[in-house]
Amino acid sequence: METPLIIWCCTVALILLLLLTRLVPHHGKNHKHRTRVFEIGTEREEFFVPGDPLQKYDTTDYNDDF
Amino acid sequence: MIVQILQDALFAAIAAIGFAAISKPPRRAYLYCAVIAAAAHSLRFILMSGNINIVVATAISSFAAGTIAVFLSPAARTPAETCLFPALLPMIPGMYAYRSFGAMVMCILGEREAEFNHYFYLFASNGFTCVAILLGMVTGATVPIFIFKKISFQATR
Amino acid sequence: MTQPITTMISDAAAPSPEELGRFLSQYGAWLLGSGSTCIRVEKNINRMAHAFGMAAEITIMPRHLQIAVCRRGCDELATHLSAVRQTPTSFNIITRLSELSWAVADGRIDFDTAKQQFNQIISSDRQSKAAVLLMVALANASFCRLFGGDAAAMAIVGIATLCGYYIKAVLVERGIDIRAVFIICALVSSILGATDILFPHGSTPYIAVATSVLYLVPGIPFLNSFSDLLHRHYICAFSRFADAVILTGCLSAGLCGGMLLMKIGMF
Repeated sequence: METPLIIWCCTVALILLLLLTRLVPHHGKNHKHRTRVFEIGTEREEFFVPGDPLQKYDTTDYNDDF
Repeated sequence: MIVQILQDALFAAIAAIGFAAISKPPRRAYLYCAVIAAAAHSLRFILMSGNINIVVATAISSFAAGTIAVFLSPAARTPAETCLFPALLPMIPGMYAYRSFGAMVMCILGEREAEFNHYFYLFASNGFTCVAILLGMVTGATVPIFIFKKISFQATR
Repeated sequence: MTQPITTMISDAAAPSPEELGRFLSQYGAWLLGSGSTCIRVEKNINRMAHAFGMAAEITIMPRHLQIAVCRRGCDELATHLSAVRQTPTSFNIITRLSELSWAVADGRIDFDTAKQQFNQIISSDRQSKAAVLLMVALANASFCRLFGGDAAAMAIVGIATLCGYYIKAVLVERGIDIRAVFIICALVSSILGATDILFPHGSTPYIAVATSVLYLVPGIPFLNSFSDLLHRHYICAFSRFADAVILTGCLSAGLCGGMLLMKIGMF
């Protein structure tokens, strides 16, 4: 019964953390200079080869967002 | 029994409104969705209480839902499926669907033949039931749209 | 002298097959992307094409839509190909686009007004996120009741749905793949759904776990796929079915993971 309890507590803690970070408004300074540990890149960045034309206009290529 | 039926209708109506909200119907369609869902789900409850198979019961109640939707849609000024599809959501065999997947996983993880056979049986029976319910549901709900083609395709006119 | 001028004006107001084709392919791409059935896309597009004295032939593929428009009794033909819009299901857009098709068919609006209204419809589809969140939670709690859950199970399912759906909204907003989102949400909801097993309060804890993920079941894609199947749009039917089955598979994977972690058996 130990493991499930620990996992349950971790999940609840993570959700609360998410709620806190989303609902508490960020201050201007901190928000601007925040470094991201994880970031979602676009498919274009993934397949980018040096020499490819830089994206000038707002195209979405094949990034699926359902 | 009547209390149970009314309870079933009430909770089906709430479920239909909530699940409908995910697929953004126009505001005026919510009430119609709730009415159709309540009627269809409670009819299925009555039929299933009378020991009728879930597939047949779902097909019959979907037919009823389709008929109501076709006649209500001109009043709601929406295409028939805008009222109908969200109202059918409480009857979607979600549990059968994920149980068949769960059984498939157990089937792969199972080591002995008897275990494999048991889980394969669960996978197949849940999967077939799920597909049959969906087919019965959509057929039942679409037939009225065809029968009353004139009304259903001119609802937004 | 006045006669030719009138003809010129009406010719100028009517679109060329090229213009109409471009508009109709956009219209179809949005209608299909918003979760409409193939039969409705065909009907609405043909209705509008006929209103302008033209005929339209449509090829509907899972991700693309091709339209050929030609003026009746004339050789001039315009073909347009557009990618189906990847937007969330919206019956509001479907309803308003259907209304637009009737307005055009009945001659109540001209081509330019139709284009304006179309742009207005696709850009003004707003919905209160908080209200949807609450409604979905309430709906799943009622669903739990329909499966025989007691008050404790309903409350737990409500909270599990609230958290799961909130996480879904956050992740989708960040552009994370929908399949990964489904796995994560099902995992979180099933772990929270197991609260009643960890801290027993009610008498139906297993119903709470089983119904906690039902809000993720892709009901509309399933219904659309079978509707396309009945109307013999087999390619679209199978692709929509495959989409729905994959999402159900992801949801089951999340649920199985959650049950495994909480040491609960599914059967």
